[in-house]
Amino acid sequence: MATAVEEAQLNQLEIQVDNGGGGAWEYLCLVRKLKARRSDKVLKHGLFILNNPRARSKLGEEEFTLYEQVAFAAMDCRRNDIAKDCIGALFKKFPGSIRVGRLEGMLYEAKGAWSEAEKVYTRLLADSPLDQVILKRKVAMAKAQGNSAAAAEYLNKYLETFMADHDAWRELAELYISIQMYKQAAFCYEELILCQPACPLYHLAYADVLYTMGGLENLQAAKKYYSSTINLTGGKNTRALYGICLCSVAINQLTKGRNKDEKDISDLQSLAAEGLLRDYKERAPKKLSLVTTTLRNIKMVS
Amino acid sequence: MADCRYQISQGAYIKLVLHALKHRSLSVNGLLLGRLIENDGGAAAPAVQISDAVPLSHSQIGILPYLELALIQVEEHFASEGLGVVGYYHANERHDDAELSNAARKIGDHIFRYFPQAALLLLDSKKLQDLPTGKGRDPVVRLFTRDSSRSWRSAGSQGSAQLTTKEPSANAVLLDYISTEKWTEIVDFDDHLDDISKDWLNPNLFK
Amino acid sequence: MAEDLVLDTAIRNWVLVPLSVVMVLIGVLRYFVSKLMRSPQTLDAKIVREGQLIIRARNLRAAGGFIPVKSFRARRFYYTNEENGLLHVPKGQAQNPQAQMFSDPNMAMDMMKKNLSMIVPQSLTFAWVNFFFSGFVAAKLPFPLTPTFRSMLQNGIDLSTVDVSYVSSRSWYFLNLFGLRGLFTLILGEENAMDDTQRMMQMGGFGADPSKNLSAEKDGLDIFQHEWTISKMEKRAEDVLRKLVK
Repeated sequence: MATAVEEAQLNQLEIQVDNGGGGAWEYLCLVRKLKARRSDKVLKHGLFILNNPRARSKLGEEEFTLYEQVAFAAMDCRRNDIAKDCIGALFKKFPGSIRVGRLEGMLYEAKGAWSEAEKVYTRLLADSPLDQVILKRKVAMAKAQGNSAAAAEYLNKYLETFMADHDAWRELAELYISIQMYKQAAFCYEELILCQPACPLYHLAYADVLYTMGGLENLQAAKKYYSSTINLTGGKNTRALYGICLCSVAINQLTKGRNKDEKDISDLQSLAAEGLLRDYKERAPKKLSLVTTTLRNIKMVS
Repeated sequence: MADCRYQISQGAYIKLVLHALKHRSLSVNGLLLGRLIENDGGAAAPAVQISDAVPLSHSQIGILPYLELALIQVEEHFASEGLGVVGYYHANERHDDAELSNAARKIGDHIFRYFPQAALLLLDSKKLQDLPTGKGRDPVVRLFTRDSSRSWRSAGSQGSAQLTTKEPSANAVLLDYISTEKWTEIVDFDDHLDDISKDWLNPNLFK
Repeated sequence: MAEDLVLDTAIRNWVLVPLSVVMVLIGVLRYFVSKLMRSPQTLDAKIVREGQLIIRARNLRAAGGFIPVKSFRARRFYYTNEENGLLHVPKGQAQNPQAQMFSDPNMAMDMMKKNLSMIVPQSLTFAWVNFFFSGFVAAKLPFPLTPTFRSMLQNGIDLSTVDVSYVSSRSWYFLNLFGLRGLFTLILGEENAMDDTQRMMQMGGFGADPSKNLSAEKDGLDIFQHEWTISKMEKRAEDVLRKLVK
């Protein structure tokens, strides 16, 4: 992920390049370094350099890096013809390379020729069965065909070996949520929390999943994780504040009528509601009355 | 009950399409606001008028808490204008996916419980793609309806329930908005939760 | 030492500078040679898996308190149960790395290549320096030093009366050998620079037994006491919010 400074730098450079101020190659390098997805711009400026023999020869060996970058961008922009030319050039230079092979497979994917892509990947995997990119491509391919269950299965297989790859865990969690397998998604988020216990995003997402699953125990746990999100963000996360309110309402509904002494005596929820109102007052006064009424309706503020 | 006409206003229509365009690679959803007009005097079937849309989410449709929250707030806000939640719209993650996903069905079911004539709109990416070349006035969404016994069905096959746009020029206006890349300005409830100074009502979109 | 030694400028021109230049050139050359000789690394699924497993188990031990007890117990069981726990290494199956090395000729080959690219040029240059430049005082440091540095800076000169700030040619060679990393980063780029100290460390690291790591992690997990830190979070969140609201 790019930091804000790098992002600003990238944007500035993009404006400069767009206005013909030069620095296209620097821009492309920065995009590559930050792994930004600005395919339309990359395609435009990259092609410009590639079509200009003088500029191209200046790059030396880097020329082929650019070919690869432009090929990716072209596939993202559905310009398969350009991608094909780029891959052809790369193929001539590096016959039998795995990296070019991946591109070839992706081109088939872009065309929607799934079985051909599958064939290419299978061939490449026979040579290097632990190629992470290709294994991930297979997941993406299953997903692109709408087969979420198969994608989850591939991803599970991948995680059996690369079990410390937290990006893969996150993808799996989102995949499970999209097919409503919340229990499995919760497991993935637990894994992510273990991996980066200080990252509030995972605490929040875990709480969301717990809340979605419902049930008293899960709701209580969800409330705790929303609390820890508040802790980690210093109370600045709107979602977590709302989450506390929603959890308390749901818990109250479930425990209504049961023994009274178990009733929550903490004033966390009213504090959360107050925090929300304060935020709205400061930053979105137009919405303040609406939020106040809704919070009053669910008895968070009196 | 199945004999119900659905009419969507230009504003709501454009909002939902732009929302889907802003997050092309993700599934998005949102709520449709409007009212039911019963023509008990005349012979005409009752009509559902969809007059506004609220974009909700562009990530993780299957997560409950913020959906609940949005429903509470949206209902509260529009109740003062006499409008209620009459439906739900959804755009799929994949371009070639024209099926109604499970999550969408479930959310639709929930709305159906409170509003039996609920409409479920699914963005039709094929039609959207053909929009610049075609001159059709048909909206680029597909309507699904449901009655109490059966599950969600694509409407229009029997010609009983139909979706029309209120203003006939809606598609032309939409094209204009698309060509000026207006979609970058649209704000959904997700964005609002990340930064509450952004307004999910999008009051400045049509200015 | 009352009077200073005067160093001939010819020493600078014919010893100090050439020695440094040659060291740099050899470093660059060695980089390219080792690049040529490097065989494409084939990873073994089992080794990768074990490495990742250890990371994951370590995470569980470090952050176990952040997940609910039930989830923690399930994971611990998954890792450490005696039947098919991932961290459980059956007795007698632990492979001796030495034996493993000889059973896999590729591995031995790789090691030889690494050694070749390191030892051969190093001994050659050392011999060269010894032969041509032994006994020179090649440079003078601009600051005084305590006598403890004598063995480091005046290698090859057996005079105890020379001031420590003078550097002998052989010591200059060693200083270059270990100190040129910064320059290599400049010449060869960030990742490619690797000085000899690192190479030696790599050698030393070779032969660590992965199964030992596994069972160490297992023992660590077995004695780990789970305490759900999240359960205290509500109280703390209250404090945070109270401060914020005020």
